[in-house]
Amino acid sequence: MNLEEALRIALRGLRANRLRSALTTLGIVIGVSSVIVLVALGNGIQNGFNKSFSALSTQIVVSKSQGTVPGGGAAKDLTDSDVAALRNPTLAPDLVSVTPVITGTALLQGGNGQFRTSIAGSTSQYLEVNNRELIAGSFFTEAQERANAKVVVLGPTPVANIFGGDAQTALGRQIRISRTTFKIIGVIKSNGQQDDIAIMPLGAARSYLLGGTDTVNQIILKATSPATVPAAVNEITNVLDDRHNIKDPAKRDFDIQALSSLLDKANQFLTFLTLFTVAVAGISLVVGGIGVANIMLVSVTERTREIGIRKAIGATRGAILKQFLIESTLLAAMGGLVGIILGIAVTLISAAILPGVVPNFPAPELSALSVLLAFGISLAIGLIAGGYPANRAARLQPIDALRYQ
Amino acid sequence: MIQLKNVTKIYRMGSVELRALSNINLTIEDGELVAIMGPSGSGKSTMMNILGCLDVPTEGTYLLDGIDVGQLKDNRLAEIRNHKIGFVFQSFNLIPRTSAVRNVELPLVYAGAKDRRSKATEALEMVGLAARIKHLPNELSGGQQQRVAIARAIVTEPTMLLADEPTGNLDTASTMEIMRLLVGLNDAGRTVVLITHEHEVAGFAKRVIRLRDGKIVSDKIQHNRTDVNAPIPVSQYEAADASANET
Ligand SMILES: Nc1ncnc2c1ncn2[C@@H]1O[C@H](COP(=O)(O)OP(=O)(O)OP(=O)(O)O)[C@@H](O)[C@H]1O
Ligand SMILES: [Mg+2]
Repeated sequence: MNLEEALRIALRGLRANRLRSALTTLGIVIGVSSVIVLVALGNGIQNGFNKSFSALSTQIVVSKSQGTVPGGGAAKDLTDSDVAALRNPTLAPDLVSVTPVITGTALLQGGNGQFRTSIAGSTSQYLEVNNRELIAGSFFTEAQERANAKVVVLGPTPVANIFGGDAQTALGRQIRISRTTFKIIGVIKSNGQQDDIAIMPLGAARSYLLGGTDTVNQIILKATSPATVPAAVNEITNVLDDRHNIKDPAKRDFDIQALSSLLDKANQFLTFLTLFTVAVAGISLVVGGIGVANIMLVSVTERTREIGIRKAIGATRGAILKQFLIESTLLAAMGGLVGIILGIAVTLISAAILPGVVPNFPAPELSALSVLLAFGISLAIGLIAGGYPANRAARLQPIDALRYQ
Repeated sequence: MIQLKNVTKIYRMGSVELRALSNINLTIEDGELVAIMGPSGSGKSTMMNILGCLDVPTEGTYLLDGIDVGQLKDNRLAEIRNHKIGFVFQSFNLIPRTSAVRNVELPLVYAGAKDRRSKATEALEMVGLAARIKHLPNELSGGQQQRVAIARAIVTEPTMLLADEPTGNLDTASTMEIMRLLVGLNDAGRTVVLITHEHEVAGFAKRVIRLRDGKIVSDKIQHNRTDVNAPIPVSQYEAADASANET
């Protein structure tokens, strides 16, 4: 018997029970499509996470220890000379940038009234090392930084409070901060955390708002690559230990925080989460497979008599097996194909809709591997589910199959 | 040629043993027309199933054209069922939801033969169903279904036709049609073995074998067999049918 005939017989078998065939494939459809969609969502979340935080993976933050230093004595402030020492490439070769930040709060006055806001005085690199973006205008330049220019870049919260949220209206306007007038040259994009902020050149913040001569609150450093972070941390420790006269590591008066190990951990958890969702989707695929197996078992058992007739007129065991294998494989393959189409469609639609509904929602990313795997598994389910009962029926003596009630 | 040598068939149901056939010795030459008779449960179907390679004896050997069927592999048996034997069942055993011509075509499909559709159509023409080839089994009368089954049995041109009560479910008119077909096939040179409870049907056979309790109790050549083409018995049947309808 050739394949074409076997296909005809199998298709006839499927058509004879349209509704049942459709319901059977439904299990596979749901299983395959949920694997595809969930893997895409997991991928999207993980890639989105990596994209938004990769800039932070080389970041190291140094700050003064809070409260009293272990072992007594007040903590020494971080100073401009500490910054200068860290910028020395012979002392700290694994650093690409050193950005001092001074912080405080001040009163902003404008259109709608007065608002107390966090102030950050820093260098022109502030934006980049903090992984933030502008939505309007520009950041202050190195020249403006050196000139202690009275320019300010606002976060979304003060823009909302003072200008009703319109970045374009705010741009170019004068604003009073404490007793000094600054020009608004840019507005940064929300990141949901540090939005209530006004950023300006470090010198300007010192002279007009926060006072002080050479202290800094925080030094943000970047290592040359995620791999050199540990070496960079070492270099920073050595430089500052030396400058702060620290002999006993337990008595350090500064904290060094590197984000990379934290990010690695978070990434690992995201991978676990993705695996977990895939496992859940896999369960629905298995349940769908059991549905196919169940129906094939019923269908084959119900047609034992037909198998008997076919054997009586000369069908070999192989021919019977082929018929039912093709039947169940077709069933599973159709379910798999529809599942793939549905899964891809749902992924694409959610990629188009979700970011609009949920801000910052990472777009799902289709994985070819998950599509192939889900399809392969559904095919395998078809083969096993159909093969087992068909083989059992094909081995019967024709008369036993014919007599089967 | 069919040869049964000391064939015994035992059914075991739990601790109970049932000898459906015991030590049957039988030879049927090519071209014979044999009727097998006997009371219900005497082992007729059991024997026929063994002859048709649908079942295997518990003991003894079955030689078909000199080949010991018991030694054959599954695929060879399928081939024998396909090429050498045409089997007709009392309950027709057509494949449901499948057209007459497709049913007849199936043995050719399994044989891998060419020109299947035209051969199947020819076989259906032979049994007088040229007009019904697209009909599904449930759209055909019992007699018509049995004729489809006969067409299916002869489409591979087997040398041997085995029929287990082929007219058991049919009225007298349909019975005559079927018997005319079977006798015609025998006249054309095929071996025909049929089981029947009806003496009228057995009357067409050249040889009548009687079974009882799994043993052959008589085996006779029938010298004055009924002529299937004789007009009188046919009209008798039809007259009987007609009068039955009137009352
Ligand atoms: N599969 C089976 N399992 C157990 N016993 C069986 C089986 N098939 C047949 N028998 C028994 O074997 C005996 C012979 O059965 P068989 O079907 O050959 O009778 P038969 O002569 O064809 O009867 P009928 O004229 O009623 O068709 C019966 O007693 C029957 O109960
Ligand atoms: Mg019987």
